[in-house]
Amino acid sequence: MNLKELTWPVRIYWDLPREAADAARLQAIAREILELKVLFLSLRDDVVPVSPSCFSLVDSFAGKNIALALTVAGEALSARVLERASAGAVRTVLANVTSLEAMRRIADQGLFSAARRPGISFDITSGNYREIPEVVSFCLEHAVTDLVFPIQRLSGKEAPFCFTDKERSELAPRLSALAYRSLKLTIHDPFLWPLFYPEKDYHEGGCQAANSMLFIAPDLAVTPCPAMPMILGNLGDTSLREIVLSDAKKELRRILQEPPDACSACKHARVCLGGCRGRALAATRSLIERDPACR
Amino acid sequence: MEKVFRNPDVLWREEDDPKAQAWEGLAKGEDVEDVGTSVLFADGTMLSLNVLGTEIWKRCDGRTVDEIVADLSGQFDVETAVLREDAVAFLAELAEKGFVRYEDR
Repeated sequence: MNLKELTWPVRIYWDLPREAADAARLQAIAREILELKVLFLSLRDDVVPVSPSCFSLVDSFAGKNIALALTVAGEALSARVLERASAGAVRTVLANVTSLEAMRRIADQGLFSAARRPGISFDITSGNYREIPEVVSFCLEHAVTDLVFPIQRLSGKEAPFCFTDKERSELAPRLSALAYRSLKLTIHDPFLWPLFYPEKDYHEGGCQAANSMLFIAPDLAVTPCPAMPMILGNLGDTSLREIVLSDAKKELRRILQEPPDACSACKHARVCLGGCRGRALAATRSLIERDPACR
Repeated sequence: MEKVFRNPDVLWREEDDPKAQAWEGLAKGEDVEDVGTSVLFADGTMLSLNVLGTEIWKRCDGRTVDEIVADLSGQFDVETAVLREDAVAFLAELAEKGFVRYEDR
């Protein structure tokens, strides 16, 4: 089927405002997400404790044709949060952490023994990537089924994290010794994927920014992907529908469907299409450069 | 006869523009087999269905294959026996992937 390019996104990542926000505005955005028939919504709340507006939003998706994942800060996770989430429309609750230590603190509270146990969202950085095998082992030991390595949030001001060949070579044998196939792993980095699934092609089929996915930032700016620092519009003054149908989004998709010139000699170019183009934009300020992780 | 049911865990939607394009093409007698008109997701697997696949999928609500074929035979310019053969093969593939299940009447 030639359904590679979608009119409406299938998945939206929405990082909720960190300050008190206009609840009516957030509810209006939630209604629009449903009207556009988005199928997957990943809500992320970095506030400790979880903000009341987060659960109001969660409730607005109850009984709708949408799979809702809620990521909360590891420090904000509690039995009450798990209970509240499971009473709503949330399919998966994830604790966002950046260290094994934070995972142990959650375990110490007995939350991985709860009837509705949380998954882990492990933000990979240059300071913690070596812990990935231990993170996987921890999940296996604590019967954590969902392990997500989330998309980097890149504003364009920070250097994106990319694995070097040496780093991947270090990780590969340590990962291959683990029985992680029972885990439900979510991997967005096309250069991390082969370490876990060397026999399978990366599933996305080229950069999905502004195609199957969109990102709503805490300030309601809409970007093509959490990792692509390019503002398509702001939901404070523009509807999601207008942003999705905008010429800027169409032009971006036209560009992203072509592999960068730097990939012309690569046999994977037509499938890979330059890897993570958001990371490329963050690193080079150009939309026609390849993923800096490809070296 | 076995009834066919969609897996309720599958999330799916029709794509409005390609759907209109496919039906327009069908009306003109064009080959629209490769035009995807819906997307289905289950357990990390995505399927894209063409217009015939989508219409079969939408009818997996407890009908039998014969009932689905009878309902569709007037809408597609294809012999009923061929349509039935296609529908059986298509549903078997969906069942293998866990997107539908059969239940005895």
